[in-house]
Amino acid sequence: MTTPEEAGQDLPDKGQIAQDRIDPAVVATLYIEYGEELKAFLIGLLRNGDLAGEALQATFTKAVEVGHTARQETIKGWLFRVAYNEAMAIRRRQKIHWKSIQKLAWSQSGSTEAPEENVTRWETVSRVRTALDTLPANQQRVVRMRIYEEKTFAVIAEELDLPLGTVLTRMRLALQKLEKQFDQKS
Amino acid sequence: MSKPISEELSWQAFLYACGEMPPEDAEAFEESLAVDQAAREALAHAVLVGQAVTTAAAATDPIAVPVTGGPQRRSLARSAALVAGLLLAFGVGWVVSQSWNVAQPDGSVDIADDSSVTDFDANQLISLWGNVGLLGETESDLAWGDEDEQESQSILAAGLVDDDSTTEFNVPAWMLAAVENNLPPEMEDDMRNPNRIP
Repeated sequence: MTTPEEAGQDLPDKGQIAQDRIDPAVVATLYIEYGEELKAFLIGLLRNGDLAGEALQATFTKAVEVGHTARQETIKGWLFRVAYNEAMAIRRRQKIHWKSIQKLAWSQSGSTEAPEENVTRWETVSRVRTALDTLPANQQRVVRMRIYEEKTFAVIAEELDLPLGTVLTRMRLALQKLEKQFDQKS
Repeated sequence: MSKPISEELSWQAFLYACGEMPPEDAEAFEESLAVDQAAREALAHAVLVGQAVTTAAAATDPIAVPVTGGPQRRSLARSAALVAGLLLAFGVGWVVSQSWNVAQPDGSVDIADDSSVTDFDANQLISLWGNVGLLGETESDLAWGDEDEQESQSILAAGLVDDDSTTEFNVPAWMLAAVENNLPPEMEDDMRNPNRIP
């Protein structure tokens, strides 16, 4: 049996093999840019920080393996789509039903951050805190009761003796102001 | 973010993240996540804002960390901490008195070089202090307050007012046994004769 060399054929170039995969440095850059947002998305779907981490890892593993097939301008959408599929697969495996995920998404994050991430986050939190303090008192109360005290809107309406629609309106107006502060770049 | 998220989509994502969507609406929203990048980013955004608001609200809350167990358990914990502190003070006082007895003008014993004595006392003190930590209370729970002052007065009063007038307060037997049985031989000698020249 003749070897490819004896047959005059070139051996596959290692560089050519590498071209079939995305550069790990590029994947690392994508992780830095989109990792936090993807993790938040996965927490929103799975309501569990550990499972979200698992799905995130699977997403970027796929990015290394087949990320080169995605177009550069749509790589973010591609990552989110892969993350969605990974999350749904986990939910099917874990048999996570709707009732079990009817808890606040952000209370299930359970993640640790690097110190440099903390600095950025604390700047954002500081802006949000300022916005929270400047909300009208009635809106501030609803926000605290829903997001911080984790009471449902129905319970809040009952405790404050208000119609449910009023509570929802106050929450929605407050959220608009809070999101505006959150989105501001320092 | 790719492009601004519409306010309606942002609100829907928030309701979904809260778990406040009816099941059929939530299912429809999830189906949209399969194809709609704006919906995905809206969900991520809602979670991030929720996290930021939770952190911000916790920072301004005067009682940020809820203490489990209720006031009764905290009161018992503080009483136990008080007793442990008194025992610790007793132990420290004993050590100081012993070092004073030993370090007489003739300088017969350099207590600093007698590591067995130092280690013995340090271990006993550490075990006394460690018992406070086993209660699982935080430093803030052990902070001294007005109710603690009243409590301490009642405990001290209970300890001093005793039918048995020979004792000022009850020291556990194990403590006394540990002190009596674990003295190194030279310490026993020193206790009998502080002016002993080695």
